[in-house]
Amino acid sequence: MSSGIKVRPGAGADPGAPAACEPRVRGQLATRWHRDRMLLVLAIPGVIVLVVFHYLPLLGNVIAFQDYQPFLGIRGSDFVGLSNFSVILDGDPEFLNALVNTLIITMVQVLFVFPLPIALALVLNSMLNERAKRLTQSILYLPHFLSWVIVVALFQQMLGNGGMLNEWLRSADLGTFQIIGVPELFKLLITSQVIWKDTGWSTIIFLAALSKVDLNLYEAAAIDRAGPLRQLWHVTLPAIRPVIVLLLILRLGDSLTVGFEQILLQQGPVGAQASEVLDTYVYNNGIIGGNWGVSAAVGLVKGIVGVVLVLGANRLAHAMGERGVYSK
Amino acid sequence: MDALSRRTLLKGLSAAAVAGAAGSALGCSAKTTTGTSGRIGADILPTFAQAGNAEPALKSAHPLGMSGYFEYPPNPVAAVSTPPLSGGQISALTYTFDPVAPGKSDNPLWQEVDKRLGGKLDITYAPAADYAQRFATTVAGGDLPDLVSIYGSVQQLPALLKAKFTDLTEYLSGDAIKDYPNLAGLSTDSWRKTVYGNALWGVPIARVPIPGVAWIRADLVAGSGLPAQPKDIGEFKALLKGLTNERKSRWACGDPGGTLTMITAALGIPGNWIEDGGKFASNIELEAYEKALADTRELADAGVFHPDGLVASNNQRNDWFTNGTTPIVFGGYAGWSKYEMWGAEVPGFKLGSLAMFGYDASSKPLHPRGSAAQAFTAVTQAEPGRIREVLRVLDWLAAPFGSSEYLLRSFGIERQTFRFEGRDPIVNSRGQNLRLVPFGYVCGPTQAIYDPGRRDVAQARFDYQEAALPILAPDPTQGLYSQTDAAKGLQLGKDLTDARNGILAGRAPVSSWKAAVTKWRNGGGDQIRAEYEQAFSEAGPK
Amino acid sequence: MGRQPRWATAARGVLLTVACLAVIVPFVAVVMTSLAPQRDISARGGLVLFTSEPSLAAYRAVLSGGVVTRALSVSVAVTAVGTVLSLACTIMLAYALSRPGSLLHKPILLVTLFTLLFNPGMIPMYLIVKQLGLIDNLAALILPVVVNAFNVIVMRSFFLELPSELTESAKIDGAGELRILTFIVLPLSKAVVAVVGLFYAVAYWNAFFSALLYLPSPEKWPLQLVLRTFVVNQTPLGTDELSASTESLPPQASIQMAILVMSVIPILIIYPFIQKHFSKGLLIGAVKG
Repeated sequence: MSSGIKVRPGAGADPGAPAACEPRVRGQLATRWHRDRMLLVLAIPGVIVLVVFHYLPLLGNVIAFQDYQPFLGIRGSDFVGLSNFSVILDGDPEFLNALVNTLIITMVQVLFVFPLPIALALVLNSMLNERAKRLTQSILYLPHFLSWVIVVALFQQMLGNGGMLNEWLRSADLGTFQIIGVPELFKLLITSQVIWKDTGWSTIIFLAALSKVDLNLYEAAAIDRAGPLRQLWHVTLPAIRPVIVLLLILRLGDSLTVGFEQILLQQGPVGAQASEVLDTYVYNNGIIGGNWGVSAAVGLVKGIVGVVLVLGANRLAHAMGERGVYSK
Repeated sequence: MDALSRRTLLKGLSAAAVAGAAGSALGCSAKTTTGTSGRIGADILPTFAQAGNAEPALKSAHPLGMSGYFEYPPNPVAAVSTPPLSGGQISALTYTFDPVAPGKSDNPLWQEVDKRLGGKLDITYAPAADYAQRFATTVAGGDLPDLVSIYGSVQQLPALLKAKFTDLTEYLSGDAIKDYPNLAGLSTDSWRKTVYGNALWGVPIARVPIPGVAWIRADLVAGSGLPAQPKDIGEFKALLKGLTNERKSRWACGDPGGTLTMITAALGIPGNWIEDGGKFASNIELEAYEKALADTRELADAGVFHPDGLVASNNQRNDWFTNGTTPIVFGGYAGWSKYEMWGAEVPGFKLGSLAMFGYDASSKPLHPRGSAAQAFTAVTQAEPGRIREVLRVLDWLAAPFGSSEYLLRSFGIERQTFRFEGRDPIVNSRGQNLRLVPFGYVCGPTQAIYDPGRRDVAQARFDYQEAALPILAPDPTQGLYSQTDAAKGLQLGKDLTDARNGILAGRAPVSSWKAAVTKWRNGGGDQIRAEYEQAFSEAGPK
Repeated sequence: MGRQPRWATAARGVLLTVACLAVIVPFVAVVMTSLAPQRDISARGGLVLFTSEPSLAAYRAVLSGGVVTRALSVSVAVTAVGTVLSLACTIMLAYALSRPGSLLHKPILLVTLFTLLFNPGMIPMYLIVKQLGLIDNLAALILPVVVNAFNVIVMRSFFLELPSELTESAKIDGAGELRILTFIVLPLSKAVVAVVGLFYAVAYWNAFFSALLYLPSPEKWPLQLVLRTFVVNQTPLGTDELSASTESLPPQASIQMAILVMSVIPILIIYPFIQKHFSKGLLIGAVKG
């Protein structure tokens, strides 16, 4: 079973080696420059794009502190201090409700939605019939390409109170099955929509990770009389664990963001108490009137929270012996 | 089709659209900006003069009404004798409700328009649902075309107009409009939408201000033995309950919000603000409004609404209407022929409309009011000669029904894009595409009722208009601007819609409405009231 | 992969069949509705699961006039060029970031990472694109999004997984970084290149908002924006109230669904070619040997 480790030798090697030599090399800038200059050259195009199309326009976020009007421009608009931030910082109970909803939905999705594509990828990977496996995967990824409007309409026509299912139940005198328009079930509804829409698509990355598993390892494991579960544990999972951790960290960084369009489309019948999340709250309480400053201010706060969460999650990953997004 | 009706009738695909769909098709919370008081901008409005000389078959008795035609007037002549441009180019940014048109190089219709204009008219456009973003970035970028549509809610509009666009008062006010006879034919109410700070800032896209209609499946009602036209609230409720049969998956209506609007109209409550001696009150503050809410809630409890009514898009509601799931739907007045088209394939389909009825014998019903202008087109700052040139192009585009310009713009070139069948120009499939250029959203004439080959439809549309216009709800905020309304109106409307839905869905008692109104008042409602009252007194007769 | 217990195979089969049905049934409805005449749509009140007289009227209506065909070629070109450029930049940046401890490694990594967390506003973006003279230029659909940090970080994590002995030994043999990247790293990373390429291609294919803002000329609009004008505006083909046409237009619902089908078909076509690179186990051992 020791060969299981060999699948990810890079992970074992990289935190140790550079860290060990770093103190020695730090002074020797010239040496490092000589060694790494080609890497820097390769990074240039990407970094230039990110600087020009992300960091330069980010300077425009100064409008978070302005009553920005497009016709006046940044120079002509009045500075208003922190008033744009009040929409999320004044502790309004409705905001707190939206925040709680957001965090609950994030938690539910991290616990129940995030693992599903991994499980599906493992199931697909265990299929021996290559053609059936590809066909299944090709079918399951399709819903990703439907817009939320269509997904919401499909759910409504299938599961709505006047939809196909309930129409049939009613005609058969079986009572009705209500999930749409019921505030208590709203989080369940949107979670099941997310599962339906994106589980298949999300397997792609894990399938790619699984495709790198050295098939010889399975043979070796089989010779060792390791059962399927032990193979899974010792051969398959180690191969995709770094990707899982990486995606989990990035998902946590996005904790404050949950399906804006999806939720906005379905808020009407269930009301704000059950359905308002951070993004819809901000939209309904500022952006909807064309308030650019509020939009920028909330973006800044979410970004800062995201940085804290990503750094924190990454540190946690390190503590658990994972590499995370970046090394120590 | 009218923006308001089309937006509310057929909305539902973009996120922004959903939030904006607070009101029903009947325009419950739809912002109405025209009125009957006639005092706003009275001293600067252009003098109205009927444009064109086509004799209508149906002549409206109301100044806002559309004329009806059963055929295209024979031998159309040009309404503008000399081409408005002598070379050169005019650029415009506008919105559209149509799919993308073939570009000018592939579009002989557009080329012909250029030829008759005597120069180039270059139009760029965005889907109406996305126009706000396109507009904001274009303004921020600084390079404005000659003509820019002002469509939807715009922040700091008066200051923006002052900074970037032309005060057109000296060109268009009073008798000055005579230089542009086709523009003079636009309704006076439509011009009010272009008035800010006692100046004219653009040319309106005029519409008849009837937002929506309560459509009813006459064939399904006929089978039920119920009176098809209720005379009071009791009969209305009986009709809705009688049409409902849950066991057979049939409900009277898919739109509780629209029903509420119907009942408020029966009570004589206008759609938005009510002015009395300079004091403004909002309709939602009235006792009677709460009464209407209670009535609608009673109907909801009786199960007359489709169980997915509150979550459905208007598209979905229209489908329920055509397949008979809900025999009543609230939809755009301008969509009349579309309902006929959808229903054409349904055996027995017969379209009817519910006329407004009084709540009881003592109440005088209203018809909800839409906007007399869908948008307006502002002219970027330039020297006076250029302004006049641009206005002449707008005047050309506003050539009325019956003129040769109108024929070209709307139907294209004979034998290439349409042919006459009798007196009716019938557009071929190529023409259907070529004529999608959004000329009409840059500038267009007063609309006409004209349903080629469907005299009955034209007559029904006209009759509905003639019944609705005299009882149109007043709106004292026409021509008034409230910055708080522009900034927070949508948000406040959304809160109210949430509260209303809570009541109609049975989650909250009717009595919770008072709290919603208080929240609205403190959240900006009182501020909006004060701004309108001030603007109203400032704009009054001097 | 050894024998599997029969009950596990059966359970798996049932599970996947149910999942596939949950996807297929709505999709059949989508396709059927796109082919259905108004009579069927009216009778059903929305989506139809079966139509007795399928017709391509909705597709013909959308395709007539040449606007959609032209937009299709724009989309194909933007997607193809964009994906190639994006992959090139992403591979280079990801590779440059795959050597922890190298010069400026961590700053560049953080610069990349933070773009995921802070979004530039719409107006500042527009002003930058305008400053660069890219308004009304198709490059405006590509350059601003040519590098996506998420894709860089995913690709980097796959690069990090490669056995470091491979690169080390190549270095000792005197190979430069470019050589190592091209001849050792990339051949071993087909799966992730395929996946990231797919992510980029789908993003380019689906994008409409940048075109809306940066391309004033509708003749240059990509497919998704042109199709959006059919759906968002909800008017079937110019049935303005002034419409003089008496011919009956295809029903609105079928046009919407036809548009949906049309925008998914190109992805369906290319997907199998990409899928084979990541759905099949790769014998690393063989390459290593």
